[in-house]
Amino acid sequence: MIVVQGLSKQFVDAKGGIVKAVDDLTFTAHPGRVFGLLGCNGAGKTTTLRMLSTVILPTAGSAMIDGIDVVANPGAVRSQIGFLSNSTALYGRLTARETLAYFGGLYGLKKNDLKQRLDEVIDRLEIGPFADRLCDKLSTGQKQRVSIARATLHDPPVLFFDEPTSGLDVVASQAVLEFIEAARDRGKTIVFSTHIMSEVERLCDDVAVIHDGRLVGQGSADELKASTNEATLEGAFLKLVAFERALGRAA
Amino acid sequence: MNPIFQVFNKELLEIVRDKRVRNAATIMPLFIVALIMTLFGFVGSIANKDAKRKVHVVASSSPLMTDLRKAKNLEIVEVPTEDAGVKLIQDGKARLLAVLGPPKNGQDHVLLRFDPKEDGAQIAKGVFQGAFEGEIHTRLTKTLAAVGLSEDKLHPIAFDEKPVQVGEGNGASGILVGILPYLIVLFTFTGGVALAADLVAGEKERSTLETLLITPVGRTEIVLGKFLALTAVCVAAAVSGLLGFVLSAAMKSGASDIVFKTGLGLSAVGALQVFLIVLPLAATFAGILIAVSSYARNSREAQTYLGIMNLIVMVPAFFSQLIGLTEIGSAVWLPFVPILGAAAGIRAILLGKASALAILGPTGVGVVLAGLALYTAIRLFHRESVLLRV
Repeated sequence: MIVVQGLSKQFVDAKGGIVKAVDDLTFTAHPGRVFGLLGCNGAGKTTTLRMLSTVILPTAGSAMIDGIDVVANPGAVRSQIGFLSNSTALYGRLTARETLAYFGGLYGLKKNDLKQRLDEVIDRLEIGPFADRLCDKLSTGQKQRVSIARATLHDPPVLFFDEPTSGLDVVASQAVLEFIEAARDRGKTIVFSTHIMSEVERLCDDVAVIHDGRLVGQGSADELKASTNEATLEGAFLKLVAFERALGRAA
Repeated sequence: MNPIFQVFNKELLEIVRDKRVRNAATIMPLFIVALIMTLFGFVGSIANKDAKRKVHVVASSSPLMTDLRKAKNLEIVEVPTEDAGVKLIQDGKARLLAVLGPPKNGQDHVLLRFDPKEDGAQIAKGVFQGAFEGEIHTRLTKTLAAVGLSEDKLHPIAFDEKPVQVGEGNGASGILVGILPYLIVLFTFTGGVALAADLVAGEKERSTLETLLITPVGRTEIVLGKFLALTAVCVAAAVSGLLGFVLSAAMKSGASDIVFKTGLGLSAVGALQVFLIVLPLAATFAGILIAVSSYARNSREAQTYLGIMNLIVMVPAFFSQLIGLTEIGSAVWLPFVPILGAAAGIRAILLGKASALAILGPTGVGVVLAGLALYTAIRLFHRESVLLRV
């Protein structure tokens, strides 16, 4: 389970000004459910996921991953999570198998466990035919499968997906979405960041709409539609974002 | 396995598969050394005093022509007039023109015409004058005998030489002592440069850094793994350069007579001493290179910083070539000057007269600097900007 309370992140820009990338974010993500972070580019989704994955420190607030504080015990948090992003890449001069073995080792898998897990993920994600090919030589879809294998090799209870289908074709995207559904069914806690409404409606049990770093709406897709009196999630999203803008003007 | 060594092993595997880094760290030093040896051989054969020098002489019936024609290392080309010879010099077709004049008061006069800016003319002049040494000696002896004096009277002060053995063995020749320390220091640095930009800035650019930072492995351990791999590459480049010299000496390349006149001057103990100096030097370079790579926005920016650093390393390394011409070579502070002290230590080892201070000074300085550089690299790698500064 992920419990986020008042999470904020500020950066100092080149001119010395304060930029609030994430501002007072609060939400809870449960095991066996997909929690969607919905927002435009630059809304603060990636910054939120980076704080949850302990790559950057929050300026304020707290976040607990399976009861472990991301600030107090970042190493333990990282062993509990898997992270997949459209921007994360593979080492081009390693084969798919070498890449997976490397990360398995870094995640602390012992020799026998590592071999067993390697066989499992290679089999489940149908990586076998290209497992011994250099990652540089793989197609985009094949790379994405290896990336999923890398993120889940250590069987983490919590998975973060940051716009994982961005740049993928329909077939590769479908494989990613099916994988997320399967992981959810296996009881994983999943945070799924996207700006694609159809993916949210298909996958997410709970959704948080983020705009300019702030939470502007939260609930299931149906609850968001109902609360905004919109027939579509897209309409609800636009209304929530526009509502926030109006508030901004009034202030 | 310890995560440090997991990162180290992975980096080494990538290095071995990266043609660019592999060449920079192993092939290039060997190639450069082979090239330098060949060039020395080529230049040496040209500058060899036994090689024939072409000298233009205005046609003359002077008896000196007989001496000139006998000289083995002169190729005499006759020209009809002095003006014609001067024209050849101006056109770059001749270096030295000799005009054999008539004797005055029992002394033969030879007018030499040449371009004083031309090095080849100076060499030809020396060879030309040398051709008359026998004749001059004969005439002097005759003159002295005529007035009842021995040849010794020409030299009121006689200089006798007796070399003093310092250290063990003959040591390396002057040229080797000059260039080898410089090249070893330079190879140690440049060997790592090709890889450095890739190690952190390149990972950020290729978007592999974030996946690494999300693993449970601490950032200090990641830096240590990369640091060890880079140190290994820097050492490999230095060893490769040294190996190039050993192979050139063993294969008796064109430069053997000049560069390896007294052998390589490096015993097994000497090689170990060089390694003792090179290892912390490589660690220092590796630490600095990783710090630069961690600070840079991308590999292009890192390359820019590394280009500037290359110059910073080259200056003290280059100065080590001139150290024998100054009194600085024996200064007690020299071993403690970064880079220069290391090059001076290697120089002393090659000369076979390295003191404990000459070896332990740069080693100690290297260890301290490597620690500082590594600490800086770790600090920079712990900053959020290592990922976010793009």
